[in-house]
Amino acid sequence: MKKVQSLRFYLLTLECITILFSLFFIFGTFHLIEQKITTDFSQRRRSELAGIEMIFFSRLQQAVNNLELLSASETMQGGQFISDFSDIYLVSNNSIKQFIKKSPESALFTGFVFSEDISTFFSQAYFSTVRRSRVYNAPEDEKPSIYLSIPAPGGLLVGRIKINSINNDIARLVQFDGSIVLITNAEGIPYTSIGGNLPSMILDQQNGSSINIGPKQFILNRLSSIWLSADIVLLTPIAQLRYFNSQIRFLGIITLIAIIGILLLRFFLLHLLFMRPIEFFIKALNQWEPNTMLPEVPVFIQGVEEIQFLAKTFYAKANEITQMNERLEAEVQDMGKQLTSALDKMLVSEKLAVLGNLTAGLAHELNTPLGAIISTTETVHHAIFQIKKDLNKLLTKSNSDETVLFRYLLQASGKAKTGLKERMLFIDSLEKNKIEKAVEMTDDLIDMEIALDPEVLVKLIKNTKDAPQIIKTAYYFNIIEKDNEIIQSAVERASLTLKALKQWTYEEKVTRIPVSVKEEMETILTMYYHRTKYTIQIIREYLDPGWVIANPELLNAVWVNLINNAIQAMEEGGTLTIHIEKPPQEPNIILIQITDTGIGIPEENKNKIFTPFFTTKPRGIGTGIGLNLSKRIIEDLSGTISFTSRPGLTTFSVQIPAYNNEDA
Amino acid sequence: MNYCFRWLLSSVLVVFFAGCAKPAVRVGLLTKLEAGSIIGTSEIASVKEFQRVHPDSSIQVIPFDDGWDPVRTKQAYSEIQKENIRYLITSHTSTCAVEISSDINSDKRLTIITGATTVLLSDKDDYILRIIPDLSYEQTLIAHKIADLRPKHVLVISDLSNPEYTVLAKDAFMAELNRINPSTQIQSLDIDANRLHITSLAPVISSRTFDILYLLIGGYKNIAGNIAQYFYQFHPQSTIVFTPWMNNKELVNTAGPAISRSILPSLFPSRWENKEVEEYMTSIETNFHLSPTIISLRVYQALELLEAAFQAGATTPEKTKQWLLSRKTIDTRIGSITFNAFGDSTDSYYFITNIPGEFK
Repeated sequence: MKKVQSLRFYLLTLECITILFSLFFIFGTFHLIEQKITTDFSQRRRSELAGIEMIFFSRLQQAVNNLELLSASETMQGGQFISDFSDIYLVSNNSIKQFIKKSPESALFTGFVFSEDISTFFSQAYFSTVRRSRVYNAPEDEKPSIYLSIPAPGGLLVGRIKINSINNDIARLVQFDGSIVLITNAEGIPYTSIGGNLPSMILDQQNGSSINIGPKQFILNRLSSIWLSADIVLLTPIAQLRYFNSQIRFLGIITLIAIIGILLLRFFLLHLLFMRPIEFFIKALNQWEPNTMLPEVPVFIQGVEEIQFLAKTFYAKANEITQMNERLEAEVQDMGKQLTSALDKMLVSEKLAVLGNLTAGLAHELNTPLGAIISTTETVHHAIFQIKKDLNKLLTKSNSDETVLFRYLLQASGKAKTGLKERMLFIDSLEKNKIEKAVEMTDDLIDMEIALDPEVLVKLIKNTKDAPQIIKTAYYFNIIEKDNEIIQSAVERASLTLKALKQWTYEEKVTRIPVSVKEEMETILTMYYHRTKYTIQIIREYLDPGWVIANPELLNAVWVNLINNAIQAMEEGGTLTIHIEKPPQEPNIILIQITDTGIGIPEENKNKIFTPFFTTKPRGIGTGIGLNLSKRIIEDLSGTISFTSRPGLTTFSVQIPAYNNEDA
Repeated sequence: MNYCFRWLLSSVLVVFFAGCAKPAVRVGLLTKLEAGSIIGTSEIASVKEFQRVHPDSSIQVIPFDDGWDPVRTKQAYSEIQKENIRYLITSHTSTCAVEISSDINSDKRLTIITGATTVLLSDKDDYILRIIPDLSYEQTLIAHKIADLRPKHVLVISDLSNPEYTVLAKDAFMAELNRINPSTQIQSLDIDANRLHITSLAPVISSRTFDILYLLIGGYKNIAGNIAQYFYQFHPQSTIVFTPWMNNKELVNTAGPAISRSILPSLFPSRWENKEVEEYMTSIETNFHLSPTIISLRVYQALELLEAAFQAGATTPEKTKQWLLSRKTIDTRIGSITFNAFGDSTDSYYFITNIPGEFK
């Protein structure tokens, strides 16, 4: 995978490459310019050398002409002819015959014999042409000199020209820049120097080389002069060349600094205009909390149009996505709820289907024996009633003490609850009257719920010979009667449960008819009268008869459930309010509110109370299907059921489409 | 890895060999470096000949121009002090040598003198070694040579432009000649060689017959040759004696026919009698196209003396001096050098009569 590098890295690399190429370019250019300057410098030096040679040439040429004129004159006199020479003399047989001109410092004299070196030059004179010697360290004064010779009457006319005499002209030429001019022999050994003294150290220095003389450095340029038969060496201070080179170097450094500065500025601007906004943009995106709207495009990013456009586009698209996301999330949540609800319903339906089948079978199987039991208990109850009735008639006719007691017991049973104190007092009464089995008889009487009236009962028991047996017989008779009632009650209760189950698994096949909620509610309250009469106050707020279209049986199941729950919530007593109205703002709706002052619904159960089989009541008391059944029944009527609850005040509100009775 | 290792090894070797390289020993050469003068050119040729013969030498010669002028000598020595050069070879006149002698000793800069013969520097245990005999010894030998010619009249022309040499030399010469040959009549004439009108000598030269003309002129002033030729015109049978300083080719160019009647004292034997001198002179003439002054041969010897001391392990001026004085005689390419206890040379002089033959 290709390695990812930052934009800054690429920019820096680009800058470095640019600087590198700039360095190459600048140094290359500098080198070329330096070479050009050096070449130009050398050319200038050669021109100067040519100029110096021309000075020598012109002086020598002038001297040659003058020596010719002098030799042609009869007297060999004439200031205009001898001024070019320091010494002029006639040489004959290699010795000086006559002086025409003699410099004061000359150590020559008439008769001076020249050495072999110069005499060789003299001996080579021919015809009448002026000959020119090479440079000699003149025997006159050891100064480097050139000799011109021409045959003349009486000998060889020799004129000496001291090179130093020409030096002044050359010195004027070179003194301005501190150059030194050397006249050397062919081997490079100097005869003289102009502009400065020079050690004999340049014997083998090549043309263009640099030499040090004291603290100064010079560039050497050499010219072989045919006029002097010697070399002219020009030594130019390298400072001149260095000055130009230093200027170029300075220019190069300035250029390099400028390029680096420009590159740095460019990098800074790129950083400022591109990288920083991008980094800022990335930072802003990193800090962006999902599901929240992006803020406005920061001012920092707004410097470059493209980046601003990129950021704005991104922000706009991101905000669109956020909004879309929010909508989708809401839809998903809604769909989730719907799905949950559908799943719940499907689950419930599935349960109901199973339960319905089971309930139908159970109801069918249990209804038969329950019917038989009910029928039987009714028969037994009726038989006991007849037995009591017949036994009472029979005992009335007998009128004995036993009969009196027995009749009293039958009539008084089931009418009183007896406390311990009363029991003990009664037992004491019996024992005071010396009646045996007092405790056993007392307990039997209490079990039969007979008021222990000592004045009546003690007398009856005392008067009856077999009172314990008679009480025991009545006791057993009472047990049969009570047990029968208990059986009857239990069977009725089982029957009601089956009925409720059957209702819960109902299928809407029954016909709906106009029903007055008020009337149905009154019927139900009547049914619950015996449970509410002592502890619960019922307030009726019937603002409307509450006509609706419904199946009365199913609708009553709703009211039964709600009222039953309210009563159970108020075990310690309270107030039950039934409110029926047609809200003025919604005249097509019948609002039924059932409010109790009970314990309220715990917060954690509020969202579960309509769930099937959810109950907070002890096992066997609640089935957990009542509210779910009520919700289904109401929703089947296109109504709603809701509640508010807090400890001490719970209200269930039911809204059902109203039925206009008058129109019907 | 190998690449890095090679680089590392190369660096170590470079550092190692650089460390092993002998450090250069700088030796100053104080002489007259004037264009057109054989002086200086000869000394430089000697240095180059030394470098040619001793290519591995650690000696690095740095020339300084004193112009044979005391003031410029002082200035040149200041440059040497700035450069902190600890070894010095001088090839200049006595006047110049005396000017800086005290500075040399206070600086403890080992100096080998090749030209100055003044007695002011003799018999001192200092940092100045001299491989040329002092003028006393020199003039004694010349006096003995002249005495051997048994002259009746001797004319001594001395140059007062170099009084440190000529005044003392004349005194020494005349004293010795008077001592060994009291009957000889000596007439002396003082001149300034720099301002001489040669014809002004005529009255003295022509005043009588002189058997010998002793030209007590030093410093390669070749006017001595002109004077000799002028004298020759008056006394063609007389003998002309020069000082050792006149041992150069320019003398031949100016002396004319007088050269055949001349005797030239020399620190070295004639090249025709000594193979080493002939070889040396030929090498200089061939390689550097000049006929060197005879004193420049002493410069060459001085370099070989220092080279021998350095090769022996001398690393300081003190140790170098100690090493040189510890040996009675030190051989060089063109003859041996003998020091006395004070570092003065006591070598003999040779008297050359075929002067033109000494120069090609």
